[in-house]
Amino acid sequence: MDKYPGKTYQEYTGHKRRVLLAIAVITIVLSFTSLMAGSADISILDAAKAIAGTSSRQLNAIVRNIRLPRLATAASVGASLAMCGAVMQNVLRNPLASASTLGVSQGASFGAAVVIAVSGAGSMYLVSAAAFCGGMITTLVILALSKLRDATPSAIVLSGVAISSMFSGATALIQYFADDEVVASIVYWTFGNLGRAGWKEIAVIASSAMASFVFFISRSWDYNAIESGENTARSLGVNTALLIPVSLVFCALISSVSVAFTGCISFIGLIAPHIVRRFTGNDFRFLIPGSALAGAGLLIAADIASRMVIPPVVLPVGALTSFMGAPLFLYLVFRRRRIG
Amino acid sequence: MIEVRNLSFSYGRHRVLEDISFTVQDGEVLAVMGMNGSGKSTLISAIDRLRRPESGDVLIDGVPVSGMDRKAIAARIAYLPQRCEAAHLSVFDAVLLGRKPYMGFSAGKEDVSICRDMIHRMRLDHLMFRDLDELSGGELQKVLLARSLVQEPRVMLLDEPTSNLDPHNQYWMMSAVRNMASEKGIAVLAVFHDLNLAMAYADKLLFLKNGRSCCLCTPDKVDSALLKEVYAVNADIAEADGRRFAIIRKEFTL
Ligand SMILES: Nc1ncnc2c1ncn2[C@@H]1O[C@H](COP(=O)(O)OP(=O)(O)OP(=O)(O)O)[C@@H](O)[C@H]1O
Ligand SMILES: [Mg+2]
Repeated sequence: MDKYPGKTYQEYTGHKRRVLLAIAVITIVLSFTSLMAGSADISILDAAKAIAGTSSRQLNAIVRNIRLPRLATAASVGASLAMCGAVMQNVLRNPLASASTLGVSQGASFGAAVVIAVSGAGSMYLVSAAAFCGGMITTLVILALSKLRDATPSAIVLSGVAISSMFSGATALIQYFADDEVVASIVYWTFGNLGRAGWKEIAVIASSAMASFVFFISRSWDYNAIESGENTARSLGVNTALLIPVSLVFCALISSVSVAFTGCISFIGLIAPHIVRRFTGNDFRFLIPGSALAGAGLLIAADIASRMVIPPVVLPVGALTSFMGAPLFLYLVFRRRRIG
Repeated sequence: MIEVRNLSFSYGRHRVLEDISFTVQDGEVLAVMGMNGSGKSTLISAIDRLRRPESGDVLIDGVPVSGMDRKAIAARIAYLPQRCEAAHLSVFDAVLLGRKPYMGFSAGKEDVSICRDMIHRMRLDHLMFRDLDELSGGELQKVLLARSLVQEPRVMLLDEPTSNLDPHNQYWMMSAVRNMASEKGIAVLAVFHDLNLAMAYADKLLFLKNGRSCCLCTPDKVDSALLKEVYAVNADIAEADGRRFAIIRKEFTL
């Protein structure tokens, strides 16, 4: 490489690596803040001790049974939604794609609402399975629509808007006819709640996120090729006919699992990739891990905010991400000439 | 060497290519000519199997393309499209994508150094870390050509590779393509609208009219009658610099 003067490719990618490192550091700092913040003030030292189980019994219980699962849920759900957004934006060739803008999350919520209304929120796993089916069916519909001949990127987003309002309407109808207890349970669901998942559920979210991460990162050069259009990617040897549906199935998996255990959390999946893209460009070797870290960081931050705004009340985190996400998104849209 | 045998293609009911056959030897440049909508881009993309031909086949060094998967095709055919979405990706990464058919999970040291050499050869050093969506039309075209070349193909399909280039870069780029083609034994098919550029650099010219092969000839066989038939223009052939030029007359019946 030293044959030529000036910056080398290694130095160029080194810069992007440092960006990833910076995002990782911020996310770790946020994680510790999240362990310390709340109605009980816990110092960083106590938090560390409590994780190891050597603090007082009360602190051990708070950190290990409440704050740590909450943190782990936020991190794995945030990472899942953000990776899902990054990949969907790429394979659907649309900067506005994400689980919540295309109706995948709303489909999952609807699935959950149906089961809650019928069985009365009895089995968490049944509800989660229904949420998963709802998300998966929506993804298949989007995939089928994107294969239609005049499916322009804006037509896809518009169909997403239509699909999500259809599911929201259907969920509202179920609430209208259901009794109070069921309504409360469904509302709880549609707001998004990070405190519901236990370690078993976290293991499911984290392992599906892990599997998807490995798949996405192994295909990152394929996604880079798709950035220049599907035909260009095919001419470079990418089997898009297989890659695109498989990628969307992974997206449906991680977003549905997330919605199934935590409810609807909007905007993280849309914004996190756009923030990272400003620093790394559309190079998926960096965009995938960057989005995962940023998504985790954003959701952890939103969770901290949800507990700090009006303590001891814990605001629904999904409402908060929508509330903070929309202005942030507008800022991103107008700051850059063109997003994506 | 690439052989195209009796290739036909339709968009729905609209027949666009009818029974096209020709052969391009290693190191040879074939110019594909014809009016707008005559089927040039369709021919190029059908050869790369981005569109499935209705009948006929394409053979590369005797092996039919129809039996190959996308990766195998990409290792043999490089395709430079007429239009390309400018991605938010750096020039270096875009050129590296040309190594895609040879990559495992990621780009190796050798891939990086092949691309660095090509970027230098294509005089793109100063743009190396700029994003594609911040390039001029001609700069983007040079980047895409660099990508096609690092693909180390047996055949290059270039759809109007010089349409955005200034006169200097047009002649410089075609010289570079010719050089690479004879050095590496690559068969080149290139679409042109500039008759004089085509006659200067192509070994043979294929004229398409309404999706049919109208004439396949060497540059010295291009004459007024042929240009009248293909392009419906009145043209004179002149000679200078030891080569032939077509001069189109301004007389049009409007
Ligand atoms: N996707 C498509 N669907 C239907 N018809 C098409 C499609 N693409 C091209 N055509 C039609 O096929 C014919 C050949 O198009 P093609 O793009 O091959 O022309 P071309 O020779 O490359 O023209 P130009 O010089 O303008 O690039 C035209 O009549 C065009 O309208
Ligand atoms: Mg064309």
